[in-house]
Amino acid sequence: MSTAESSSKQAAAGTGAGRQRAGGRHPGAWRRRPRRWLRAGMASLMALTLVVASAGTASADREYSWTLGNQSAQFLTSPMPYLYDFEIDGMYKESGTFKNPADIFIDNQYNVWIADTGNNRVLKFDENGKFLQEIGTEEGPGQLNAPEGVFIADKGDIWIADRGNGRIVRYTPEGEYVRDFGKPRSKLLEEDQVYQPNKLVIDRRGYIYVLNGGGDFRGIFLLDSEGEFRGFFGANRLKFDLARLLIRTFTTEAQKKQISKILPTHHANVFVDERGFIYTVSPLGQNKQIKKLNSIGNDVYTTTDKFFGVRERRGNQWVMPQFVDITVDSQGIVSALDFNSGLIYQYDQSANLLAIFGGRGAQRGRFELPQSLAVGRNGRIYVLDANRNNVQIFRPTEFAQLIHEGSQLYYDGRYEQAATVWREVLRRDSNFELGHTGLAKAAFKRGNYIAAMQEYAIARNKDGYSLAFGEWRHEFFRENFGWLMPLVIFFIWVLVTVITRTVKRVMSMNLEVEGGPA
Amino acid sequence: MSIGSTAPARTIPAVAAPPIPRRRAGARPRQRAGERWRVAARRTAWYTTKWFRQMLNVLAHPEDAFWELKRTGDWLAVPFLLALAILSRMGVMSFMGFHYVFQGVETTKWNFESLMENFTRTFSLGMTQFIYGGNPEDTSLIQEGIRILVPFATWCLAHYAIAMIFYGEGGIKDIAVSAAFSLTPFILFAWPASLILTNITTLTEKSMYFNISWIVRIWIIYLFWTHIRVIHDFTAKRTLGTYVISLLGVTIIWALLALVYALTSNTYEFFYELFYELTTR
Repeated sequence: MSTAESSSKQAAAGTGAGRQRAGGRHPGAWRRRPRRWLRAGMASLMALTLVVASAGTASADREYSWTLGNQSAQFLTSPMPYLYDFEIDGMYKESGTFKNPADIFIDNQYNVWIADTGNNRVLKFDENGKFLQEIGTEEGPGQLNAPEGVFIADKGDIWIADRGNGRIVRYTPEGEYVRDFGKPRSKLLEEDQVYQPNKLVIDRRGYIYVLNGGGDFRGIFLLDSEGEFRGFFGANRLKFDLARLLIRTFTTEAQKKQISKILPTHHANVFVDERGFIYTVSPLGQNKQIKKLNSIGNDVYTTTDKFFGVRERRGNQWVMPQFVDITVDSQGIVSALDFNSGLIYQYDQSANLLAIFGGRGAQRGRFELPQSLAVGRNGRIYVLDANRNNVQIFRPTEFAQLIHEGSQLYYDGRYEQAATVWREVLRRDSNFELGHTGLAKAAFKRGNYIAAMQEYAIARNKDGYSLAFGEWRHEFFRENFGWLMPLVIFFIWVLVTVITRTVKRVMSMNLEVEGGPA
Repeated sequence: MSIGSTAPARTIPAVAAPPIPRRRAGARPRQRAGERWRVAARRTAWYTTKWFRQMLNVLAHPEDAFWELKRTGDWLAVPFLLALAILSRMGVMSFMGFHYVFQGVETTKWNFESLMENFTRTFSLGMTQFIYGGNPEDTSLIQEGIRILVPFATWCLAHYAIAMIFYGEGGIKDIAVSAAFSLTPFILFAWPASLILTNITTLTEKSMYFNISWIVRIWIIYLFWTHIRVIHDFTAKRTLGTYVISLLGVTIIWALLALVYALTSNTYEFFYELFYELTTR
């Protein structure tokens, strides 16, 4: 006899006995036993939930982040894209603590370079925070004065924007001083030009892109490898404004002097990616704050006037994002640091928002004065804080890795492979709009236009929806033309008849009667 | 008994309904409930027929129709037509195909489309919107109603004032009734356009829908022009002058209201802060 049979027999016997007893003693007895089971089950369930809940709170400081919908100002919760991992500071190390550090750079060996501005030096750590090297403290031509930018060229040469001395300095990979480039001379530059280089990058051709500190709106200083000035690069422009034109037309010279000059915004930071695109961020712009400049200085990142970040209403005024640094990983995923909110915004290759994390605050994983960020091995993000004098390292969660993988496949045009990743993403975050767009593209390619329309509708992608709708309409008409056309003609005939009859009837009704309307 | 009767129509045009006798207590025996409903239904049918006929007349031969409206128009038509306009606006928005939401004309760029959009929007006072005015999830019937009612009310006020100065013949009733009847093309054609066109065209063919919207709005502008000319018995030159100055008047009223709001809100803040200081110190 198997166990199943025996247990069922026992159960049958038990219920039989129960029923007998219930009939014999009191009518409520049959309800008692299940209640006891229920109570025991509930107690064990509650205990289990408590254990799970406490484990959850212990393992992760925050379980979810938030992101923006396609219509900006729509906040959606999303899984946490990055988690705090560890931090690097100079405490109890040979280097000593930092003082108002301004820039962080990660070279192709994943070493971490920090421009320790307040201590007039540049520090080198390995990716786990082990102190390796110090540059710029020895007396001589290589001594630094408030360096604010550091860049490591492909072969390991160290370039430092030495703001206090008004020059950029080059060192060998071992830290020996090689040469410096002081204030560039050109007809385009005035003699009393203030020159305070604070950021620099070098592209593959050897051109040096230097930012002049103090809000120079004329663009990036483009120097060749000999330090000769080659012109301004990628300046922000003012948009045409009718009101400003009117004011300028009708004001006198004296009045013009009293009106504050309206100037284009400057660049706060600059980054060069592997393919030689120059990324810039503007802290004050109303739109297009993030730019991806090609070799002739045109923005190829966005075609529309896209606004990056979130406008926030605080009291009576709008707080705008103030981007101070940008970094791009090998997949082309852009992370931009907003100084005002302390948030890090991550965008994909065509400026779709992928994730938001960070923020202002005193706890771990938040920032007090975030200055700079860089991306290291395995997509880890290093964020430099000038007030805490440390670097916090964030590791991507599984969710962020999935997003990056999906967007990579998506922009390579491999929609089918991307779709499997997007399904995984959507299992974790069903609000993720780019995922729905990805599924829609895959469905579209398969020829399943209705599914594509549904996914586009969820993603609020109207242009995509329109495209899928057009294809569906085309197919529908081609297949159903035979019976559709007569139907449409009949429908139009009915409509015309009904309308003419109604109009005729209304026009012929007799309204002038005894007693009026009542 | 006459509504829906098969008797041949008389040649006499529609006239205003005779006054409804006011009921004094005990003057008339109390009607049965069914009888009262029947009377109400008949009265509604009578008015609806009359207004619909007047609307069709406005579309078919506007000059005669507005001239007739001076004699036969009644105040009750104004809320009726405004309600229909709001209904039509609701229809426009709720029937609109998903891909058309927010696909308006960019009014900041300078091309033919934006020029037409700006022109028609200005001269029809923005009462006739064929696109979404705000976020579809935030928009409401009240908000959309205000978009029609407030411009309408200010137009009537401003136009009445200007027409008085220009010695126009029409009174406030003629102005309100004719302006309400001038919205007829929007009432009749906006929602079908949204229902049919936005659901069978893609965005590459969206000019079809927007062209229809401009035709309807230019028609409305023409009806405004005509009713100003007819009800005040103006010359063309005077009509144009009155029209433009009334539009200016509308702007001035809104500007003044904004100014008053700004000033009073400041005063309110001042008194509030004064009160706060006094109570907390």
